[in-house]
Amino acid sequence: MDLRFSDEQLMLADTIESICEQFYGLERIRQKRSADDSCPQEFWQALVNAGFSGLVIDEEFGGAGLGLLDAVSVFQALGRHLASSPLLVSSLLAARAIDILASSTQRRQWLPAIASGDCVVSVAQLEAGCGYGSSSFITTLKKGKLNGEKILVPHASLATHLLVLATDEDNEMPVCCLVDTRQSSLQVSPQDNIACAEVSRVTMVDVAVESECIVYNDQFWSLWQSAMSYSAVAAAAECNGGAQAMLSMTVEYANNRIQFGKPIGAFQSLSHYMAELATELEGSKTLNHQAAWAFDQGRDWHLLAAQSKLQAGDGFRRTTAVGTQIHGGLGFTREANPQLFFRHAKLQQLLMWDPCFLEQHIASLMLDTRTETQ
Amino acid sequence: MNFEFSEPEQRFIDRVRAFIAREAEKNYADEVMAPEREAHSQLADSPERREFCRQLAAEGLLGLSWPKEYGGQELPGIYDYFVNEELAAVGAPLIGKGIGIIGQTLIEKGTEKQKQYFLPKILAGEIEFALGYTEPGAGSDLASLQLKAQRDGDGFRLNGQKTFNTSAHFADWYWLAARTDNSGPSKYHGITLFLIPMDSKGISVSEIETMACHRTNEVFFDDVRVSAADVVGEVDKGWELMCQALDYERFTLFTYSPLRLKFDALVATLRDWKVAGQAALETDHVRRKLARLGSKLEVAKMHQRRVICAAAEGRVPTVESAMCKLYCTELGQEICDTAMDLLGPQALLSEGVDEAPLDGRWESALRATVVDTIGGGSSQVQKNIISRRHLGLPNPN
Ligand SMILES: Cc1cc2nc3c(=O)[nH]c(=O)nc-3n(C[C@H](O)[C@H](O)[C@H](O)COP(=O)(O)OP(=O)(O)OC[C@H]3O[C@@H](n4cnc5c(N)ncnc54)[C@H](O)[C@@H]3O)c2cc1C
Repeated sequence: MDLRFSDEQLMLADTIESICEQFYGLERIRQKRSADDSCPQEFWQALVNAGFSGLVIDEEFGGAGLGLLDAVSVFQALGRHLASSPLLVSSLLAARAIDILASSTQRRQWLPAIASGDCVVSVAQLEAGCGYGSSSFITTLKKGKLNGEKILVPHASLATHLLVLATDEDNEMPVCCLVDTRQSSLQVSPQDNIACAEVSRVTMVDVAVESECIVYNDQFWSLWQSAMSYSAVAAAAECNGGAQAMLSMTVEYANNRIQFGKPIGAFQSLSHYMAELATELEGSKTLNHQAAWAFDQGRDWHLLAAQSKLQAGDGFRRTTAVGTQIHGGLGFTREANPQLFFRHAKLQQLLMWDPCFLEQHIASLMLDTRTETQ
Repeated sequence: MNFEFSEPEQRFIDRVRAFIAREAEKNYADEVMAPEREAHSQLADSPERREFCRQLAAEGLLGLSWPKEYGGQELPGIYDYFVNEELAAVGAPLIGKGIGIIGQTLIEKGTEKQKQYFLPKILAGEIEFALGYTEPGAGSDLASLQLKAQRDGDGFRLNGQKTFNTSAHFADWYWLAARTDNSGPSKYHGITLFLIPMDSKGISVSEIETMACHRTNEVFFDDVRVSAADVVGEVDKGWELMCQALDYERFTLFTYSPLRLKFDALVATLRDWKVAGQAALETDHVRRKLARLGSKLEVAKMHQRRVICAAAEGRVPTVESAMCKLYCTELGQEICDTAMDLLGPQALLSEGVDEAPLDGRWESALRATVVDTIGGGSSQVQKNIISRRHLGLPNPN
């Protein structure tokens, strides 16, 4: 047994750290005031130039062919900086979905483009009134035309394409389609939200889809869920990174802020919270690593992935709630960073599978199919 | 990164499992492998438990981490933990304080005579100890203990009281911490460890009943005469030895497998359970609760793995153990509590009542697990350790 990251994995994280510091520091994120403020183009470009857009895409498609655990190391580092970019949605979720759902021709067309950064594919799944558990979409595909409205579509301004989930009118089955974002029948409008994250409503009125851009699969829904599981592991890593940063910031503050003649960290009503958070975080990180490791090793991993996202999302949320409290009034102000983490934690907890969905999903993996969890 | 046990570790774990499977076939299995009775099989003064300990010894599972010259196998300390995990998974007696706290300390600091007398007996599983640390005025703040050990010729005379000394009513020997000097620069100086016969003249033991079937004792000392040869290590310098032993205790004594057992038992009970006429496992709120517990259980396992890993790297896993103990013991209580909530009022019924689910297991487990977050360093003490040693927060005092 060895629970340490390899030197290569640590180096990946270091590279991310320096890219974040150079192009997308917390100061820049603090300035964001609305959902149409996308992540800096230079930041995304730096990630692409360093090869991160092809990190987990197979070498045969021009990627680096690395494992999910490598991606976890990357996303933990991104999470520490709250540095959101199309990386998660395009290079993990969309790429993974295309890899396991699409035809070989489609894979050859799209995966190299995503790996090189030429194409940035965002995913349009959620609709008003239906969450992650629903496989019957109001958005329809009928005679090669998409109609419907999607919400919370991430990073649409940097996306060249959208992977749109819809109901195929012919057989009432879910499908997905790859569509160009630059067409007038497809309207993107930013949606303001808790974290000023770049998410949008996408309205489609008779959006034409070429037949080679439609992804059919007999097992569409279960494979889609598998692609979501995969991305949820990376999203959980991002949460753990965020929680780690918030906890370190809070500990540092508690060591320096003096009240009643001593550092407030000496008060057990605060230090014990932090000890609990640290304990949850270490457990959550190890669980996250185990999920990624199990995937890379070809073992049962779906349950671990879901458990990891549930724990990491909850942990991030709790860490920021407590951490903000420990910062006192300062934690409430725009000028300081705790509020940033606070707002992003709720966002990240609810996106890429929310706790309510996860509970149901975990229950069915754990109780209905007798998955081995020993 | 690798989450698998090494090949030798896995082989060893398989060997322990095979041993347990053989023992489970024997007549006494009901008595010595009784997870539903919580600490009973581990603490009872029963001939079956003693016999089981002898079998553990005969199988060569005691003293794994001891040096070869004392009959050990010089394996890493984590092997003792592997044995305990497997034993705990069937509710069997653990390898106990003789091997860890007492044996380890004697090997390092004991006199030749002490080693010769005690070590073979410990290895053979033939000797029972009671641990005499806690006093009415010294619990978490153990170093403030005041049981008086006064010089008397070449020996000492003991006067005072200990409390919560489990097994004191049947143990053969008493591992005792007493105050030999009160004038030192700090409370940590002046504590001396003794190893004395439990039946020494002047010792009286009286039962403390608890809310679970976990008997413990008060022990009174009335001019108990002990000789200089009963001292372990140096006079006045016992504290350091106690700390080392406590570190070891924390990482070998707190096991994860009882949590898994409880969770599996709960799911099994709920498979045949109905809530308002509906199968419990098809009821949304039951499923959600189980999903949460199951996820936390996996986190608990991760903490156990972190302890194993740190120990395998040759570190004393102080922080990892503190986190593991804190998380696992709190979760153990949560599992019991949730089990009772999900099963409803019927779960209140005790062992022997026909309608009691799992023969009263849940109500008794809820009572029994209370001590887990108190003994062996309370949850608050663990949080102090984590705050200071892991996070670098200031000492509250
Ligand atoms: C069933 C049972 C069996 C036992 N067996 C043995 C045995 O065999 N041998 C033996 O020597 N002892 C034994 N003990 C004693 C056990 O180790 C002590 O109960 C334990 O160390 C706690 O001490 P206390 O009970 O005096 O509680 P206290 O130390 O008085 O604690 C009371 C409360 O204060 C909290 N607290 C204390 N200090 C701090 C602090 N610095 N910061 C924050 N909170 C704090 C505690 O967490 C707890 O919640 C046993 C106890 C029980 C109940």
